[in-house]
Amino acid sequence: MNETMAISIPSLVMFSFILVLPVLIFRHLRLRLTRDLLISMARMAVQLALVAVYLEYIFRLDMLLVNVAWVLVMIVVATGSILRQSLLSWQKCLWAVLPAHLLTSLMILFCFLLVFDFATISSARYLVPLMGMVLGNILRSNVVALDRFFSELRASEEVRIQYLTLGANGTEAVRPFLRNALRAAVGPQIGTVATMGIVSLPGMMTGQILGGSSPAVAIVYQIMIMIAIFTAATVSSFLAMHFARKAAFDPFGRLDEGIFLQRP
Amino acid sequence: MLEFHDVTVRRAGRVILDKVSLTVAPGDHLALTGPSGGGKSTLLKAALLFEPVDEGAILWDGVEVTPADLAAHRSRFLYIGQKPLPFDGTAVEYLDLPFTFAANRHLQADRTDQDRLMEAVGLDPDLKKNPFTRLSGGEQQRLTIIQGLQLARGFCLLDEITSSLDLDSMRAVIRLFSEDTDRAVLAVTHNQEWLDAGFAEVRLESGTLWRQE
Repeated sequence: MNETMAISIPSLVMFSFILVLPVLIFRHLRLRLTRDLLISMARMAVQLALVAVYLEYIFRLDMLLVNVAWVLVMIVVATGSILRQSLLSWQKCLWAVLPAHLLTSLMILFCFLLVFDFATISSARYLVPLMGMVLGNILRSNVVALDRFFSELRASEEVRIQYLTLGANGTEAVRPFLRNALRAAVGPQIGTVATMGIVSLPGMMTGQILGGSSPAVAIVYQIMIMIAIFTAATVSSFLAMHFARKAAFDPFGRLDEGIFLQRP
Repeated sequence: MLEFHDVTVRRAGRVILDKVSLTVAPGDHLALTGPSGGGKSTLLKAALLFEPVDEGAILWDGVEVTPADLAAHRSRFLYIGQKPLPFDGTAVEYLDLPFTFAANRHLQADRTDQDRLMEAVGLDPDLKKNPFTRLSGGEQQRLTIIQGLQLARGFCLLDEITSSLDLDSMRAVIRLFSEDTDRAVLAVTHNQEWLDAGFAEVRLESGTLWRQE
């Protein structure tokens, strides 16, 4: 396999000057985004540099326990990010969202065993990037699902009361909310999947081709990862809402406002 | 028999209901009127224990309702709000929705009764085949009322159910309830039509209940 041509740091610095273009456009439109943009770009650079150091170390060590621990860290960080973005209380919802992601990750790992042998998938070089891609790509759908689910429950209390008095039990009464939230969370992804390869050349495939893999090998990985991401997004969003629902209602079946972060 | 006993509800330092006492006996037809924000919807929700009561109690046949008998308590009531339920499917599937719930599995939808009720509120029974979302807001609301009426519930709590209907449909709906002497009805409304149909007025103003004689 050919190594990818390394980009030198000075040439990366040179390249980063093309950011002048968005900055000029922001200035022209008096959009106050320049500061945010520069801070975000700097953060990204620092984070990625740190991750590169971690990963070098983890790849060289390549111990099963360390690899699994790293995946656990990714799951916890992903859970935290979801809770923060969907404005839900940590105390109330951590124990709903975290198990949802542990279960989903476990399921995806078992599914990876259908295509890889255990030694391969448990090695750092496969486990960390594959799980990273899956976890990174399901954040958005989880945030949309949880946010939509609870904001609609809060806004349409009458609907739920009506369902309950029509004889629905707790699960049946939240089903329409669950349905709407899941549709909003994963529906758009179905469209994205359909345009893959034409409108967008997917990141994993691009990376592999640059890394020296043949396009034939790369597309198989890409197809597999798309299936894994979509399945994980649906399963984790569904489980997260399902578990969070149990924490969200008091003994009278009323929505507990404590599950929301205090909003201004 | 439903009884509000000295019910006080406070929210964020504001008194929403102030020692409200009211008895709704089987067959009673009451119209709950009063300015917006006067606590009418809160009173309906308190009856179902969806609104926490700070002082006083909700009684059923003289016994205070507790979380233990919540499911049984709620299954005595029909609660209908101002808006139809969000639904994907045909109108007839919407009418059949209550029968898909585990608790109602032993019941079956009665097609002739559905048609009779639809005609009574001025709906063509042929509408049943249409997708629910294609119907007008007024048609959806009337189907929502029929959906609930299929269940044999002795107590109806209605929260401005006719506010989106034209005069003819409103009168038809009100007639459906006023002629039903088996059911007790507590209807929140801003509309004189309910009083004209023989509903006794109960007025809530800034949390205080006035019974019109």
